[in-house]
Amino acid sequence: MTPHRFRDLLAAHGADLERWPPGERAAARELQAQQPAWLGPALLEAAALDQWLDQHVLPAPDRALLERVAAAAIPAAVVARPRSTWRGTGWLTPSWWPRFGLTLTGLAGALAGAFVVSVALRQAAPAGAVEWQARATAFGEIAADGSDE
Amino acid sequence: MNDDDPDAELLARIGRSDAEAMRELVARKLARLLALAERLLGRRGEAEEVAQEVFVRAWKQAGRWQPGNARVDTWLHRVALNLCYDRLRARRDEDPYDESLAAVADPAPAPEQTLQAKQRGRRVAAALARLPARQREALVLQYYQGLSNGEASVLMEISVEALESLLARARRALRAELTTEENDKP
Repeated sequence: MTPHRFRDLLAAHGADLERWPPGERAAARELQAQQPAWLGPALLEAAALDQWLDQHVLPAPDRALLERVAAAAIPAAVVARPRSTWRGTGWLTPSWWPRFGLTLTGLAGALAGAFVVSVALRQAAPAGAVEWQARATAFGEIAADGSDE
Repeated sequence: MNDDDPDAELLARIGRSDAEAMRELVARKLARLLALAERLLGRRGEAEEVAQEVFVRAWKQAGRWQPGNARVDTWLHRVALNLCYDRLRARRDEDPYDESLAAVADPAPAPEQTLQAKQRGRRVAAALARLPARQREALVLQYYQGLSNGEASVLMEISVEALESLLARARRALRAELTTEENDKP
């Protein structure tokens, strides 16, 4: 490899020979081994820029983005089919888990609401009225023994 | 099937409407395509939209995939590049690097040392954004995406020699901007 070619490759690919075209690396290493005077400063200059470029690190996509992108790509008709959980990707939680959690939360809220309403009614209304309401249905009042009478 | 392509089998499964394979492809490639788009566009939000659209198209076109023509990774890069070109054309009159939009990429507060590294990263991002588009594209494909000269030159539809010329000019411009300022140590 000529010094001129080495400089061209250094200018294009930087100081790390692993980034150079594979076919050029062996010859470049041979030239490096000869330690010509011009090589040191040229390598240092290229390495300084490499260090700068390596500072530009981007955040990896989080799980929410991974799921959103996959959801956008896969048609709803395919998603509706039974499927297994994420595997081999670091997404260890089944995708239905958040929905299950939301359902549980909603159910707990509904039960709590019903309890509060029943307590309020019991306090606000006379005992007789509550007794009547407890036996009333959309089909009429149910007898105390549960018969149609 | 292309034995040298680690993603070919995955794409073949996607071509058979295998949703699990699609999720695996997203897990495997999203970070890479997101980085490509973000470094070319300089905006995280737009980069996410581009990356998402790449996978939408991958699902639609996987059934027509011809193994052996190109690696799946290269093809995904091709799609992403085209989407980035469209967006760059659409905002020719805008500031090439909008600091406020790019800052979205830093979601978490950081210790001082990390903060300094992030500031340097933003300087590099701003310098990249000021490069001519083709120089930036060459550098992103070759340096950051780690594509071979052959792959990058095919994607850019130029010769390897032209690619090397673009790379050298890009690095020269970046060196002038980054390493000649007051604090030139990264």
